[in-house]
Amino acid sequence: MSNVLEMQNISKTFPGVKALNNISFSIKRGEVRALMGENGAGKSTLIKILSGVYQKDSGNIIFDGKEIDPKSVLESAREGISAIYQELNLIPYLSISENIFAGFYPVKNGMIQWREMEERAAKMFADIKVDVDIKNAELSSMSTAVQQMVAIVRAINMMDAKLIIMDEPTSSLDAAETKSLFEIIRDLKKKNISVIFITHRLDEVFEICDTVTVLKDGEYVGTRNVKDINKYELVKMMIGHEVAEERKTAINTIRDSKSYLCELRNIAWNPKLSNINFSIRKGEILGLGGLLGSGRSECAQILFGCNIPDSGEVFYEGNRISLKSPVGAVKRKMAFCTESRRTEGIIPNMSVEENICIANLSEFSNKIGWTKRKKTRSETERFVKEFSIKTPSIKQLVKNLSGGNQQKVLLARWLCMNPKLIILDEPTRGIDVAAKAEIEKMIREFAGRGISILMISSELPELVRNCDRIIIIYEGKTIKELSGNDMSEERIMQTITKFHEEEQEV
Amino acid sequence: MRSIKNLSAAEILQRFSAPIILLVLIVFNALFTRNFLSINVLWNAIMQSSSIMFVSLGMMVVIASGGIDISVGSTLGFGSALLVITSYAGGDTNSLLAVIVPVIGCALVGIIQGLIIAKFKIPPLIVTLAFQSLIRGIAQYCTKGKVLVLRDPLLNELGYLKVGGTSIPIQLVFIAIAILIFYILTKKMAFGSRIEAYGDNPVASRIVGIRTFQLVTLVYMISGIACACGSILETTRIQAADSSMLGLNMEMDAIAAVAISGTPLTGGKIRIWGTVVGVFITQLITMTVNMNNIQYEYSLLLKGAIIFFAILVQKSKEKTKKGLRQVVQNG
Amino acid sequence: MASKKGLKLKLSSFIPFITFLMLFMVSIIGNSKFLTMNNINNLVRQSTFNGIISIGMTLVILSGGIDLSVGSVLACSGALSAILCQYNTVLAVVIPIIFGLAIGLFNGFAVAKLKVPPIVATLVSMLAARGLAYIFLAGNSLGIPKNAEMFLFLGKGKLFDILPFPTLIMAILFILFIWILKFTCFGRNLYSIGGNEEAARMLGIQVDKGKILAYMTCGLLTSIAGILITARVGSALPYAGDGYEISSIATVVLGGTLITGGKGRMSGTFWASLTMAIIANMINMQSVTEPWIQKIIIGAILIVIIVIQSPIIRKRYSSIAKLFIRKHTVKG
Repeated sequence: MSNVLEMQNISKTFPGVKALNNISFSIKRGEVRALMGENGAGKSTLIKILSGVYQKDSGNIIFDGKEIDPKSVLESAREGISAIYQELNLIPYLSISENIFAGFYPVKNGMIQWREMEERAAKMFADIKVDVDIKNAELSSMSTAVQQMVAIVRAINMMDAKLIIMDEPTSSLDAAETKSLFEIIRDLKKKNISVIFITHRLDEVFEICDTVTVLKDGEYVGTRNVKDINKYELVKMMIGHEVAEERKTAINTIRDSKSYLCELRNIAWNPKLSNINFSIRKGEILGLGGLLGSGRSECAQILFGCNIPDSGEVFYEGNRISLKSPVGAVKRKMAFCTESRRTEGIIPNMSVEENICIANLSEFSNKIGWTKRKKTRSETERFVKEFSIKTPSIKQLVKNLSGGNQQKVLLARWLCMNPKLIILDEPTRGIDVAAKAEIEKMIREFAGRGISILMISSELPELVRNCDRIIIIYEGKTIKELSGNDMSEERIMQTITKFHEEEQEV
Repeated sequence: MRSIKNLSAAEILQRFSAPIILLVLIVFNALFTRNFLSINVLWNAIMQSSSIMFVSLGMMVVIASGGIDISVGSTLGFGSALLVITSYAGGDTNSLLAVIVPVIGCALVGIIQGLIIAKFKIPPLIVTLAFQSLIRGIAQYCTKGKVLVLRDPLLNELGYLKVGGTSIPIQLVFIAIAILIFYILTKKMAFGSRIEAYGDNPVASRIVGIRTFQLVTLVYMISGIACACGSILETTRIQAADSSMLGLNMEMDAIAAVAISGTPLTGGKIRIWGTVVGVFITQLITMTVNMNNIQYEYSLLLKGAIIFFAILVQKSKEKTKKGLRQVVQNG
Repeated sequence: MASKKGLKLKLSSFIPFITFLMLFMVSIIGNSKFLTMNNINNLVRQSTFNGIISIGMTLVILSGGIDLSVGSVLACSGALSAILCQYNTVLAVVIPIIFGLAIGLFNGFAVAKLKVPPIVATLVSMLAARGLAYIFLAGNSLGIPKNAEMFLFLGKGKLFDILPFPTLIMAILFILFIWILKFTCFGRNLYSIGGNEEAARMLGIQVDKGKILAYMTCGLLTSIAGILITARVGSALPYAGDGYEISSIATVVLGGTLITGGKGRMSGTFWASLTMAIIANMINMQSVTEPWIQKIIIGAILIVIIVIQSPIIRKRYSSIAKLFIRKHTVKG
């Protein structure tokens, strides 16, 4: 059997969303396969199914000639599939050698054989030509690069892995470390171990991978030999549509096109951002486009005060501000719907009413802090009606609502405090089509009222449909601004690949 | 809200377990304990539970914010010591001072703990565990280990004051005041909503602009002040300050009361009426044991069992809800 | 670079010993009576029971938990041994040990399988054991009869006229558990469980079993301490063991074990228990036994050490948080 892995008609559905639809492909032994696709494409779901975190709804997985359906990470590891999520499977306070052998200590007469352990670990690292202290230093004091290597070494030597999944392994590595990692991957190939390599970095795909599989919106787009494809085609597979979507014009025309609300100037933030420059006008919808991991969310976080930039300036309403926490941002009437709605957005065990009013409590309370229930109730009911939030009552716990309705609750929450700026990070992710359209309409309406919107989305059509301007971010730098007729998916893709190529030439 | 008749028996048990237990205890005592239904016994019970009511309400606020405070018993002892010592100092306004000083002292204890927890991000359990020992020691040091008798006539009288011309003890009034204050604080004021939000999802609370550092510090200060009030009531009732024994193990009763109330021990929705019922239940257990000549220690067993089962009920509620949820992680 | 980091690791493991040494010196200099036979005897005796319990507490804390029931279990085991030594010395040792194991099993099961938070589970067993202690002793102290010589030897006996038996037991136990933590899978697995429980599970380590065994061992050691202390004092007191939970936690933490688990050495606990005894000794020297000074000092030590440890703990939480929210963390 030359195929180490065969995925046959794999499907997986979550409430309201079909994450994977009939995915089929196969991987040969010793093949390095890039797995690419934007947010929502299904890559993460796919590898979680392979590594046993999720279970498939239908389809077959044939691994090493045997049909498997792993129910846990341990089970899949025992089958021979190891996933490297940076330090996830490692113990920070233990040494490298112990991390490799944890659970498999060499034992003689009831005693752990430390010397044998350390010698074997040293040999494993010598094999990959890496020089580290394997016995005295704690793993947490080592760089991410080394920690990844430990995970890889463990996977090959202790778990007898035949397939190693690497999820964006180079995102915290510098050039030299990346080179070392690639040497190790070439070594794996020689040992006939296959690799699934998830990355958003095009040059890596062309440097180290044999083939590339692209997923889009849960569908299988295709697999190509790296030799037979060029970067533009690859990007098009990932984010392009066959038919360009109509751009819907904004609902309202009250837009003050001359005055600026806020500006980011020369922002740098280690490790993700190196040179960010853009500004948002009042009443405009500004989109931040770019590939996964380019640093868009980080820009939003800096604007909102979640992170403090290493250098550069943030201007708001004409004044220079340096926020130390979101408290200052909210005071200045900024709003932020974060990417992980479930963990950072909703307050799950509180009611719709409480969730909506929480950002604006001071408005709803008098001077001593007494909350005017009548007002909170009427405001909540107003938003529920206006936004068509489907809930049996305003006292319903928010965790019981669907994703789309939860997002509407979050939007209502921020609207409640009359924001000047709303930052939206992937606002329609995980939301069904109908609710998605509703939310997009709502966003355009807000802009019509004069609220500035910063929209981060991996869905190019969404950006093109809704934004007045789009800033393209590539690996922590703002590279281009598109507006007017220039805004189309084709242009965005071209810009990304062109800049990428220009970089290569340097 | 679904009407009661739509709930199954198991769900009824889950939702109303606390009042049911209370009812069982009352009935049991009415049947088997002599003089249980006499008015004097009732008043005595009220007088004895006034201090734990304050402490438990303070504990409820701390637990709802996602923390815990096991130093409450020691803080109560500390407040008691401060009260009596101040009252010894003599002078005209002294009774008033003797009441103010414990409040300030215990509030400070709470603030310091809150600051350490908020600034250094240390698990509250450990900080309050350390303070449990530290403050008890300081309290004992203040009284040199002796039991100090309260000699202030005004304060002594306070312990046995009755309402109007009736035989209703003044402590009932204080209990009512405590419940009222906490009800307003947690259900009517924005502060309560912020605590619940922070306990349920600290990250989201930060994003919506809640001042979490101040909130944590305040919450422990409230617990401290509640202990001060409890210490005043207790000291005026027994008319002495026993810095070694006063408040010993009181944290267990307070935690038990909050566990019974349905307030999630990991933080979240404040259930004030549940806590009130919880306090009554723990006090009834103590009474049942005392009045039937059962050994005090059985009450410890019983309280421990109740805390344990309250947790299990909470966990099973969480589990059934969890099964309906699925993590949607796209990308 | 690698060797410098390695050196740092080696040095940090000497801190508990150096702390002990420094306090030892200070005591010798500051107190002329420190090196007398009598005082050293006192010192050693004071450290013994806390030391034995601290061994068990080290295991529990390493695994990421905590055990508040040790004081009550000490009292209850002591009570059982006092009752039974009138009949049979063997029973007086075996039954309390079984009791300690049973409480440990309850604690471990509640924490590992029922996912009850350790503080609640051990709080419950603390209450239960304390209640049982009072019940067994009917609320009074119970003296050991003079003719139970074999039993009394456990507490009062001296080997070679110098080494008290309980201290010998403590020494043996320390050596045994230093070995266990270094050379057995059970011991090393505790580090993984406390260091990153999720990862430990994914590495194939039996997390639940490890935790349950840790709590059971703690219960076992506590019951041994209970038997020994009852034999030493000559009677069982229902309120015995009060404050032992916090002093053993302080000892473990002083010995360099992280309160959140995953890092620490048994040898550190050993030196820390001696250090705690010196501190207690120093306090006793100053003033006639004032129990509150001890409470204050222990509370203060615990706070100081925890605050010092907090940057390490915060780093651990932030690094683990980074793993699950991979692309960015919104700082809370």
